[in-house]
Amino acid sequence: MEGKITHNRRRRLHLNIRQRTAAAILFSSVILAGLIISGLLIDADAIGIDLESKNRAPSPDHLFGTDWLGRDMLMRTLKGLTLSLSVGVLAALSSAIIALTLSLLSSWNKTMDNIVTWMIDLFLSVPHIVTLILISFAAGGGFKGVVIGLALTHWPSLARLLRAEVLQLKGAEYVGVSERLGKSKIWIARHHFLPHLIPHLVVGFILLFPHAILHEAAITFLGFGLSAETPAIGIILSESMRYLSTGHWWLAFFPGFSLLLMVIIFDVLGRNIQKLIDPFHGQRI
Amino acid sequence: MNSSNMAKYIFGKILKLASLLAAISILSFLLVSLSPIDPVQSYIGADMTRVSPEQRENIEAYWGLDESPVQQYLSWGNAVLQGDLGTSLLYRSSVADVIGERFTASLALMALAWIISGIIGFVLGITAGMKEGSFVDKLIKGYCFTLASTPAFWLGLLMLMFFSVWLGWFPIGLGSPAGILEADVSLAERLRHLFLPALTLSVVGVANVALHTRQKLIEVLESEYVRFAMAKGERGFTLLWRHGLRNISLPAVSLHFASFGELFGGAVLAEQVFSYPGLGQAVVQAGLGSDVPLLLGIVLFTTLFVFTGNLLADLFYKVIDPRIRRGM
Amino acid sequence: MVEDKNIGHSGETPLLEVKDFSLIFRHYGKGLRERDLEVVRNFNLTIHEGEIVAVLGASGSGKSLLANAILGILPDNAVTSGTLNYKGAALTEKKQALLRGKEISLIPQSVNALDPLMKTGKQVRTMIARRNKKRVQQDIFKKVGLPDSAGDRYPFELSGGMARRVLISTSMAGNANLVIADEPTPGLDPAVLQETVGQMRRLADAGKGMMFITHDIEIALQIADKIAVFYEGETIEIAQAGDFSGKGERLRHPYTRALWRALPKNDFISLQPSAYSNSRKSGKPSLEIKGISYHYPNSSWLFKDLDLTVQPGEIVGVYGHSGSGKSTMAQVIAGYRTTLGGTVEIAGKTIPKKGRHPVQMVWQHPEKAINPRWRIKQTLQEAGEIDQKLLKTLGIRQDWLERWPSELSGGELQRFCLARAMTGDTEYLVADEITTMLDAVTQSQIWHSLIELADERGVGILAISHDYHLLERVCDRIIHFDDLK
Repeated sequence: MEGKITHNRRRRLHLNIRQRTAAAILFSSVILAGLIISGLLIDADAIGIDLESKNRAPSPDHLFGTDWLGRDMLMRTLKGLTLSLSVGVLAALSSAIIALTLSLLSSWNKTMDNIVTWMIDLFLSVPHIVTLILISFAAGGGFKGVVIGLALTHWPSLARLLRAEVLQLKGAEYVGVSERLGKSKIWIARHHFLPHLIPHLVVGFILLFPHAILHEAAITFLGFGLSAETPAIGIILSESMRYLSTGHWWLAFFPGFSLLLMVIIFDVLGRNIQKLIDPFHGQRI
Repeated sequence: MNSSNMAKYIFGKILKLASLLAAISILSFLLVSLSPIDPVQSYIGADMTRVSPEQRENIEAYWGLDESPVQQYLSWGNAVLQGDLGTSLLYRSSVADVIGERFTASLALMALAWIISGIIGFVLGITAGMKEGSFVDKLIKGYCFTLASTPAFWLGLLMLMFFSVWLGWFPIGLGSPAGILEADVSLAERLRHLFLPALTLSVVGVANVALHTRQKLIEVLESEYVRFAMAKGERGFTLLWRHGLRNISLPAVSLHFASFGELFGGAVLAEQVFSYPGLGQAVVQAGLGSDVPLLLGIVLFTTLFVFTGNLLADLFYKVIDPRIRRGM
Repeated sequence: MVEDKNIGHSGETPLLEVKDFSLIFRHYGKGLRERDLEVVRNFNLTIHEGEIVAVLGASGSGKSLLANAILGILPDNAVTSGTLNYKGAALTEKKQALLRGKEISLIPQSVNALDPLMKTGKQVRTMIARRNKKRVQQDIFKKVGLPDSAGDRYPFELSGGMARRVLISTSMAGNANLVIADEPTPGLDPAVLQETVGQMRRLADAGKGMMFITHDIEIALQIADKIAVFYEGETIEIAQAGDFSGKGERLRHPYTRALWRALPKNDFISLQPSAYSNSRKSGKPSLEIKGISYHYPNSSWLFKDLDLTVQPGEIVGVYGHSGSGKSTMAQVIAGYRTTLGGTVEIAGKTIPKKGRHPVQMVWQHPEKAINPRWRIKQTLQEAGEIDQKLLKTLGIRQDWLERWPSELSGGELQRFCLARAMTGDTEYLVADEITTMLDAVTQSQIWHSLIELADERGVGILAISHDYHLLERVCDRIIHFDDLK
């Protein structure tokens, strides 16, 4: 007796994982680009005060409704998202630079590594929000305080990740060989470490965005960030608090939901780029 | 762990805490002294015009503002070492008392949320990890990614709109009803005020634990020892119980302990939305109202709080994991 | 198609029968396209009761996947086809799940197969169906030479050799008919190896069938009745162990014959090293190792006051068991670790720490010693200008230079490591088990080129290995590491 078996575990898919990943990256990039462009195109008139049409519920004219001054909530939300985005870019960029510099420094020697580790621990030892409040207070509030605060609170997690990578590379046999071939530390950092760290840095940079944007909104909501006239999502939401009991639900719902969507899109973008770059994750089904 | 290693460990931890607290205190004092906000003005507020320059100088001298920042730091630091955190300008009582009272309220909120989110997150993570790639997994993963992207305070606002404004089930704010003495508030009433903030905080906290547990379980299920256990004929729930839970519960619990910082961050926002009188609300008020002694006190206190979480996470490993327990 | 020459068992139903078995992995290549990677094709094998069949193939050739396929524990992206029969009946997925651990058991390759958080005794006891589990487990431990106390230890508290014996114990506890042993022997010292081989033989004599997967032809010959030679995913020959004799006239496939003849104890290299006397006359300085010592933090001395001299053009062998500390010695000599006393000198001068080290080292695992993100050409250029003559001697083809490391085999990568180490003014080479992971034919080719290079360039080589036959073939003199330390 004999049996012929074929274990076929193939799944029928129209797109394979890589193709789906690439599609997701393209899709999220297009949406984000659209958001930035629309945010830039909105001028002051569009979010101007129009007392004739105040407190309107969502309608085809005003998709997100209007507030107590008759300002169009859709326009305010878009403007706010663009603002969040620019704060996010500044914060994530400076965080990434700090993280990269420190992780490369930590590869120098044991003492340097201890100092970097201690600094990471130091910045992680106070809750982010408390640090943000403190820095905002020190800067006297405003845009500058928020960006500095976000940059200073978001680098440690990325630095910790990059440092672990550097540490692992430092122990790699091919780096040892390179040293024995007489290459300097700077040469090794530039040719062996940096090319390895760049993909992690790119992914880390994009994944920092969602965090930075959420914290920006949170700190603004608490009243520390941008001034009350700026159309930031945090400010819009904190204003909406006053109108909750009157049933103006759209004031809080749509802006927050849009923020959530933007953060998710960034997250999707980062994770998919990670899948493409990191061969290990890319192989997973 | 033998006693000399134990002593070394404790000494190391104390040294670490001391160095962190010293650095944090210097940095935060420096930051506060950089602030362009005039403490006297923000203290007196609108009545500023009625304060004469002499009176102003008196206040400054009373607070020690006429001294150099280094001297100010030294005298403040000296007082802190003797257990005196100063007097809160907003609450007009000792900072230590304010923190103690406020933290008790926050602790109830955070502990409840911490336990609920831990249990739910762990169960969700295991469910997703066991069925990696399935519909259930995708559902849980999607839910967690969405939660991780959700602004906590917005979620709080939605809950407030839905449960309090629309359904009218819960009060709109305050830890206890207004106009009643603190001692007279019944337990049921307290719980009613605790419910929504705790719910918000737990819902947000689930994502992290669940995703981490899922990832760990997938790693464990792909490990050589699980493959070998399968080769030995083990499967299903026995396999999960024998090898899975044993290997994932340790990192999961440890991670959850190490998340005190985020927990407090969430509490700050939840307390603000629900007007819950906890430490989170106090830190916001201290920042907005330029209550420097209270702000500094809370910064130091939260450092201690986060450190405790990390220490517990570390100790948990030390006590449970035989590789560390016996290896030491 | 390979024909099984087994005559003795022709009448019985075989325990395991594998016919035209192939295995494909789906993975992603460059770009967005999916690719199928064929790991095993047309694999054929039969195992009868009381028989040990060795599956012999180079490391990384996909042999271990065969074991997983028979047990039905392949990862999800594997696609298999062909026939698997157990006791004459088809081995379906359902049946595999029933038989796993009961009738078919596995001795895994890696000691990582033990659950790190469970005591070893308990891990063995889960396999025992009878009562008195503890007694049975302790009896088995006694048989494999483990002390009673080992059962109350966690895997990390056992040495590599002990952990391997725990793995072997699990397969004895299950009372299975078919045992699949996946490279169970590397890293065992000779005494334990003999013991283990004896254990397996006894299992087979008790009527069990065994599939013994290995890359080491000498161990295969020691233990197996039949040997299935696995080459580029195919069984090219199934031969009786006795066929491996003389000049290999009874072996049919040229590769099998080459494999047999390339063994150090057979032909290996006809060229006898004679370079040593010529080069020394050239007046080049010798490598003098004077009183070096080393130990890891919180542990005892690995070696102390070790003296050794290598002349230019000379090949010196250092023989020792794995785990004896000879690799650490190699790293100290090549400047990877700092000696805790003594010096390493060339021409009477201590080698400076900074700059290019005149003693270069080549490691056991070439894939770890090459940056995976560089084209292989860049790796060569790291050492200096590419020396075409050197590449030719080492048998490196020009078109390999443009490839990525992942596109080259272990043997090819090791040639590049040697080329990199020999580029420029390298005076001495430390070769630490450089051919251990390679098949016998590649091993012979690589040593052939090395002897030529030592001769031509007057480079002295310190060859470190656990394989005495190999050292005998290639070295001018051999030193026992135990005598050195």
